[in-house]
Amino acid sequence: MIEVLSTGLYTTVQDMGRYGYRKYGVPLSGFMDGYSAKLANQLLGNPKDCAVLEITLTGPVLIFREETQIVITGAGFTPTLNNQEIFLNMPVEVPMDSKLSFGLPAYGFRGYLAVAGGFKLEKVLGSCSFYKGITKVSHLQKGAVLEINASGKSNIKANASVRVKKDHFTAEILEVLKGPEFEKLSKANRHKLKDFIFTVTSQNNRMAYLLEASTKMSAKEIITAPVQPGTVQITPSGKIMVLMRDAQTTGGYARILQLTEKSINRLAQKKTGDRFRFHFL
Amino acid sequence: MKSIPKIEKFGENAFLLRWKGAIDPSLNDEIVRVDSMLYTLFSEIIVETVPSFLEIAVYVKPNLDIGTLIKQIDSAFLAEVDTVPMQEKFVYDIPVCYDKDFGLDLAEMAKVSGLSVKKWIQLHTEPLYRVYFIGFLPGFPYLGGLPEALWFPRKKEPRHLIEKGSVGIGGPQTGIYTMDSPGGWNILGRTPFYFFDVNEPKPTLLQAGDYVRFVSITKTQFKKISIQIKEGNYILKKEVCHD
Repeated sequence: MIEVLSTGLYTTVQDMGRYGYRKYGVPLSGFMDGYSAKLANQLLGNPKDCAVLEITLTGPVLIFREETQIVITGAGFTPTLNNQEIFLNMPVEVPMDSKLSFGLPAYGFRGYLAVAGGFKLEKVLGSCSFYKGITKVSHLQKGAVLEINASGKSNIKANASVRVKKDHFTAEILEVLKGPEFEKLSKANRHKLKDFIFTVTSQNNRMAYLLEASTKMSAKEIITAPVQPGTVQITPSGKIMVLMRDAQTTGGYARILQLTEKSINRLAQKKTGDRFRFHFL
Repeated sequence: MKSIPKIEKFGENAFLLRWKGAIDPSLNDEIVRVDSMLYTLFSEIIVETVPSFLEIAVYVKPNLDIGTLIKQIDSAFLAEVDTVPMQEKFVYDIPVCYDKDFGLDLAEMAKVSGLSVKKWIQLHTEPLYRVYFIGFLPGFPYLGGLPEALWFPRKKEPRHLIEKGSVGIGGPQTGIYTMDSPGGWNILGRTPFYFFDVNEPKPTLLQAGDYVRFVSITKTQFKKISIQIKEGNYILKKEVCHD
């Protein structure tokens, strides 16, 4: 088991998410950056949908009360195990009673901690992903204890490691598709979406990223209709937001663009003040 | 089939069926039927669907060719949809206490509208409200059929917390907050009943196509029903709906 000494800014348990319940109004949830999270599981030989810890900007401090292996992926944290720096993106042996800390990321925003065998947690509606009102807790609590599944025989390749493309964290271009209300925008505004630079505001979380644009535009409300992670909405007062993994299932604002999966993963690594442009596929 | 929806790509792994028109119960019937038909015909590829007023979002497994799929679906449901039987629908009687302790905004709404509180309660409990679909919050029903006299704008500043069970009005819509949530609707009462339970295979009681009727109860009845619900002894009144 693992004890949580301190929690970090916003640490949650996430897996692939809660599929099959969106028609009941239940958000999908799941890894914000699926690319990094799946990589962590893959390097440990875990099933790709194994629950991991998602760490936001500042990490937790954890004490391991059993021996295991871990992989940390995602943002460029400088984690230490018993005060010794450890590598990202490769399996690390963790002796009993080790203390793991994260430091601050040099790049990116969200890190992932996977343990061999995965965290042992109750599934609610098919998923371990934390979500307020669905799971008992909405983020990791100080003093909490996390159990680890017995991993059986380890499939870990001794020195398995990967080079992660820096682009994933630094790319200033996000690929998008047209959204259902794209054609309702004026021609001038459709062009602006291609040309202008967008900045991530401080209002960014697992539900949505509010953007600041170098241009002003707005769109009328729509009759409430389905939305999904990656849907870019624009409000009558001119706010532009990208819905993320904890988004509602339906919404009443114009859906002008739709990010690709890759772009959602990349946006999840952006933080307040980061800038980017859209590239239409 | 009344009208043929357009089928459009919605991101990499989804498409939308989009109907033209306005919010309408008979169109909702059709959307409910098409929704169940999609699961029957394309169970292999569908992850899940989300029906709404004028659209169904169909989320499919990754790495499928959405363009080809759209063509298949187009021809398939044109041929099949009229043969799909309607699912059984229910009318539920929902107890609501309109006391000022729960109906936080009712006095103000009465004042602004010029109608008495008593009249508000009478008008709000009269209609059968159709459940168009579930969205916004887990279990939250989008209800249609609010009398025009009760249409009331959202609050300028949303509340940080609206308690579970609160019944409110936002513009031309009325609904039940099925979870504690921030929200901008004006609140006129509260139901002791709950509509979302993660321990059920279908976690929401209400389904698209059902109807609800609000029944006014006193504070004493509210407390009594709350206790019965806790003990598992409360049965919500429901009847089969024959449109």
